[in-house]
This record gives sequence, C-alpha cells and structure tokens, in this order.
Amino acid sequence: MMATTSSGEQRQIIGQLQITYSKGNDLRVSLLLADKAPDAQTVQKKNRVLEQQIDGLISRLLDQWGVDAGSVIEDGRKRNRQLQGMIRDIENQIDVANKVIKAIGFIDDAIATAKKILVKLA
Amino acid sequence: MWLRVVTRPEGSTDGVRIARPWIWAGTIPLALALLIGCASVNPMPFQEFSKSAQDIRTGADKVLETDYEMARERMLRNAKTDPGTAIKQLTIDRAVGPQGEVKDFAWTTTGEPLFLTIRRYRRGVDDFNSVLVAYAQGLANLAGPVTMTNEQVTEMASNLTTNAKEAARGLQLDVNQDKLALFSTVAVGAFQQYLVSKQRSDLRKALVENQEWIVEVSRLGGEASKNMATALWQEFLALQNDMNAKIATAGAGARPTAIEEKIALNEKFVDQLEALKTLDNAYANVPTAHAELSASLQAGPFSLESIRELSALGKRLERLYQKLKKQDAGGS
Repeated sequence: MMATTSSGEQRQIIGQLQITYSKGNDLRVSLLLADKAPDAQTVQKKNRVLEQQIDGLISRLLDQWGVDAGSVIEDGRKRNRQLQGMIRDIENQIDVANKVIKAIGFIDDAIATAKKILVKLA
Repeated sequence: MWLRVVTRPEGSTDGVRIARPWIWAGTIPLALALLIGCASVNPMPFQEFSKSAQDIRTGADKVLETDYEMARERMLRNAKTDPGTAIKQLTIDRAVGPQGEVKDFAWTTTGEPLFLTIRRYRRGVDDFNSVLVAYAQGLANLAGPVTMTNEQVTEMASNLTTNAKEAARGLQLDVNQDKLALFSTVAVGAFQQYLVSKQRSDLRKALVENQEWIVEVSRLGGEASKNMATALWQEFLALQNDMNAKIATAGAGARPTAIEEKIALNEKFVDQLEALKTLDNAYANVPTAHAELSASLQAGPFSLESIRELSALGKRLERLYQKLKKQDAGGS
C-alpha cells in the first residue's frame, strides 16, 4: 500500500508544476519575441490546461494524495531543467522547430502528472 | 480538462459552518461581574500575547482577501477567451446521494473555480485564528484585574476545542484530534483552581497543561500559511504570464505602461509574500511565547524575548496589512 503524501510534499509537487507553468510562459514569450505567434499560441493553450490542473491540485491540497512524492518531485525537477535548456536553445535560434515540439512535450508531461494525481483523488 | 465534482452537504452554504468564537470572546468582558484583584500577576505579557494574536488574524485575512480578488479577476480574464470553462465552473446542479437519490438542499458543481476555494479558506483561516484570539483574550482576562466564573472557563474550554477542530476541518488540515482535545480535558481544572486560589502557580500550571494544545494550534497555523502561499503563487504566476506576453507584444509606445504595471504587480506580490512569511514566523513563535507566559509566573528571572518577537511580528503584519490596503485603494 502506498504511503500517504505529506502536505509539504504536496506543496513541493505543486511548486514543481508551477515552475513548469512559469517556464511554459517564458517559452511563449520567447516565441512571441521570435515572431512565431502560432507556436506561442499553441504553448499558451497547453499552459492554460496546466493552469487548470494546478488549480485543481491546490483545491485538493491536504487531501490524502497517496502518491510516490519523491519520484514525482524528482521528475518535475528534471523536466524543468530540460525545459529551461529548450527555452535557451529557442532564444539562441538553435533548431527552433524541433525544440518547440520537445518543449511542448514537457508541458504535456506536467499536465499528465497533475491529471494522474487528480484521477486518484476523484 | 480537469473536472471535479464538489458536493456541499445539506444545510451548508459554503462548507465551513462554525460557531464564531469572536462572538463568544466579545461577550466575556461584558459578562464579568466579579472584579477581583490579581496584583501578583503582571498582565503586560498576556496583553502583548493577546494583541499579537489579533494582528495575526487581521494580517492573514488581508492577504487572503487580495488572493481571493486576484483569483476572481483571473477567472473573469480567462473567460474572455475560454467561456466554456467559465460556464462549467460556475454551473450549480442538483446533488445526488450514493444511492442516486436527489438531495433536497445540497448542491454540486463540476470544477469549482479556485477563487471560491480561496473564499472558503479565508473564512476557515479567520475562524481558526479567532480560536487563538479568543484563547489569548481569555488569558489576558485571567491575568488582568477582572476574573471569570467557573462556568465561563468551562465554556471557554468547550468552545475553543470545538472551534479549533471545526476550523481545522474547514481548512482540510490534518488534525491531531487528541492534541486539540487536550484543552478541555486537562486545563479546565487548573484554570478553575486558579480562580479560587488566585495563586500564580495555579495559573502557571494551567498554561503548562495547555502547552501541547498551543503547539498543535501553531503547527496547523503554519500549514495554513504555507498553503496560502501556494495559492498566492498560482495567482501571481498567472497574472505574470499575461503581463509578460503583453510586454512582448506591445508596441514601443505602449510598452512603458505595460512595464509599469508589471513593476507594480511585483511590488505588491513581494509584500503579500512577505506578509505570509511573517505570518508563518508568527505562528512558529506562538508556542515559545506561550511558554514564556508560564515562565513569567515563576519566581526568579525570566525572558520575554519570544513575546517581544511575536509582538514585533504582529506589528510588522499590521504595517504590511496597511500597505496592501493602500495598494488596493490605489488600484495596483
């Protein structure tokens, strides 16, 4: 049986997702400044979905989560580091099209993580 | 998108129902007919403790008020481009029980918007802090020139225990029921003994017996302040996202105004976060300050450092509260 997730761990999970969300916006702004409005809009839509998932998790803060917090938090950190690398490459005009697709994939990962927790709580 | 069914129990309008302790706290001084001198107790630390508890309550409420306003504005902002989500979040429906039976008075929504959660949380935090205020006021009364009857002390214990549990439940805090029940089980007798003897040692005994209760109250307050910070971050990040995009897409002429708005947002957020940090520190300080109250009743030297620290944190909260109020009035 999975141990319950402490409130501090829950806040860490939400915090990592909020960092992804914030980096998603950095990505959107980088794309806007690079004159890539359609890609920026795609990122914005994804980020809005992530925003709603995080809202849901905050509403459920301190419910019994029962997730493996350590791995979820570590995955979040790794995701955010990689996402930051993608944003840097996009800002430096390195393989932009490919990096945008990969960056959006990281936001999708964050959405999936949040959804998985919310489904468990439903 | 994420959808959650939020069901309110019948007879409940907002999920937090509680006898508001401030009503009770306010009636105590009026009900005190007996004026018995208590020259042996220095009331000053107790008054400081009581004032700090009030500052904690006011400061917490102000931060949550601004957080609520930000969350509500975000929903309205998002609805401009995504009306479907707003409609879903704001639609109230009939609630159905586990056997499929329709409830007469209960209601349900799918995907409650965060601003409504924050509104409930704000009420819960206020109720929770009112427990601390009522306790601190009760102590100040006991240590002061007026005293309480046996019945009033029993009522105080009963109200504090019930209200602390109810408020913690309203906040979805993980409550240690045994620790929160300690007040009524062990401290009442000691307080009543003090009323008869008026001996400092009896008041001290009552405070010592309440120490574990106050530690649990302080822990729960700390959890609440950290949860408030998580909710506040969400509102800030969402608004920041919109403002950054606005700066990026604004023409050269409009950009300075957009940047000014962002600077104002940053300044307000830093103050809000500072207020929450101060609140968290204040909660953490409560048990030591409470222990110092006990120590002040002993013979010999004692320190009031934590009470002074708590008082300073309370004053800081008050200053931040006034600043946030001014910023709100200025429309930033």
